[in-house]
Amino acid sequence: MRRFIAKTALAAGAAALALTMTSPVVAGPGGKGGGGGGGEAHGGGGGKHEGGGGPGSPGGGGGHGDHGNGNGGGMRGGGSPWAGGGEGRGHGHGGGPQFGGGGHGGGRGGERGPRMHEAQRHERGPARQHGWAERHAGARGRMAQGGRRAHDQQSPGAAGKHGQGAMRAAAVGAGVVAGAAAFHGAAERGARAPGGQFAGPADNGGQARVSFRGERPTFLGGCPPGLAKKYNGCNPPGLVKSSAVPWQPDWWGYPDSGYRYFDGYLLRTSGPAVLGYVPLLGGPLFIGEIWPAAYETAPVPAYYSDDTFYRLEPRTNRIVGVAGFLTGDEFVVGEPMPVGYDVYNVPWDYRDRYADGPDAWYRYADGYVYRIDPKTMLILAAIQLLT
Amino acid sequence: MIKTSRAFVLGLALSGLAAGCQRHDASPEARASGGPGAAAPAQVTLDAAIGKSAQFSALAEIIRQTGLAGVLGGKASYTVFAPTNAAFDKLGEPGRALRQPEQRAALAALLREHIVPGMLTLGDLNQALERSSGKPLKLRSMGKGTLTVSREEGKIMVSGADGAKAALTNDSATARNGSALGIDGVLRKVA
Repeated sequence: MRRFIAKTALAAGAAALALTMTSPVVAGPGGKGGGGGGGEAHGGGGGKHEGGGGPGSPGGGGGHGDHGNGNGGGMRGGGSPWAGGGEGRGHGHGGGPQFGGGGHGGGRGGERGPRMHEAQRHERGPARQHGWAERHAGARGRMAQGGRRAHDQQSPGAAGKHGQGAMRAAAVGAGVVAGAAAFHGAAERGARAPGGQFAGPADNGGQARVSFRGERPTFLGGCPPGLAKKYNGCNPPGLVKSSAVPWQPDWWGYPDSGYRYFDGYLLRTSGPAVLGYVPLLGGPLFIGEIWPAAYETAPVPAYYSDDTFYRLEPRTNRIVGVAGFLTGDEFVVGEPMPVGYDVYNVPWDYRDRYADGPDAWYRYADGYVYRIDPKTMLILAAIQLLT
Repeated sequence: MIKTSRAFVLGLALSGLAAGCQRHDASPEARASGGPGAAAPAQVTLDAAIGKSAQFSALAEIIRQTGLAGVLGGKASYTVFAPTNAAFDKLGEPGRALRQPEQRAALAALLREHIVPGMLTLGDLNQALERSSGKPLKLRSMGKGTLTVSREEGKIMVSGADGAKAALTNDSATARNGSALGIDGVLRKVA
């Protein structure tokens, strides 16, 4: 579950990861449907931000996202099950398992977006070149999907200025196929993401927007193309011999029963037959390898790309780098900090600003610094580091 | 054990000293954590910083082999609990098998268990341990599990999700985007 939720946070985090230490952030408007409020802008550059972004701004999401419910579009027939096409409209719940980006009022058709349900995307708006933003309690960034809550979505921005290259990035969760970053940089206006997902143009002043969707992993069906080719019809020698499998699926967080590791893949097998697979980081998901066709990609900033983000060369879909990791944890303002953040870990360049004190602690994850009440350990605010 | 303890004390002292040379509004608690006022880390990326340390040459090779240099050389901040060369040597044959090219996926997964988000310093760990009054600390890893940090007989110990345990060593490297804290074992049982 952690990983599942992660994929939503992924978007935000990834984007934030991508942006460096100088850029902007967006203020966090508050509440349901209306945006506005809540955003505390501070820091250098800029004074206050508009909360919630302007109507129709693809960078938006936040405040005016109404309930922030993007139409997930459900499963794409025949394709990867996480690849539904978020409509990115203000309302609407889809029945599909994804949760994705979008959901900004009047947003661009076809954009992907997080699917939220009962969710207030508080905050956001196009990233602008100023300061910082915090998301405050008061409007909880809660997205529920099948009872799972997700991180508030964030539309990271600022990538437009780096929008040079049409690098694609693909995100793959360990155990989760995530991804579908729709990035709108200057170089990618109007780009169409594979699978017919329109990664719509940005009109937010050259700023960028990234949205993700993710869902529970599904093994890709059949035999991995690489194995089929290498082992003559997917009958790799030793597959049925347990001694040939030094690493159990648990090594990657998968249940040991029903799966086995083989040559860079986790395989679901029935006797000697391969029923499905997950390509692994370091296996077929490695520099120089071709991105699995069944996994979707979408344009994202050139400088970054699950838990794991991969950089892909756009024409060939060849993996050119592993760009980043995300925790996949769930952070909800007003709720307790997830387990695993007992130690101060704010990135160096932010320690002056976010130092632990008697009234507040700060912890970093996935591109955000979270302000925490030291007594209750509740998250008081999420501060996006558009670095 | 004594050396380790000294290193921790020294780390705290240095960060406090540096803080004393500059103006900062942060609390002494924060400064001691390697926060404001502490000496700035080297302006290299974490993969490069690890690569420069003789004690981490095996790790550096693993980072290269698994293609994770891009992660540690990027903009996001991470801390690596960095097994020293001796730590990898201790794994023996299973460790050597793990480092064969065909096991790269397993090796990448192993390495992820050693990476946590953000930047941690020895001072941060010491301070958190003091704050917790001996209660073990939990750290989210970028792999599948949570790491546990505790103090045992004066050493800071780090345990992986499956109970594999290692002690912090005096080896460390800092970079603009994170740090590497040496450990004398790997944080996953390698059979």
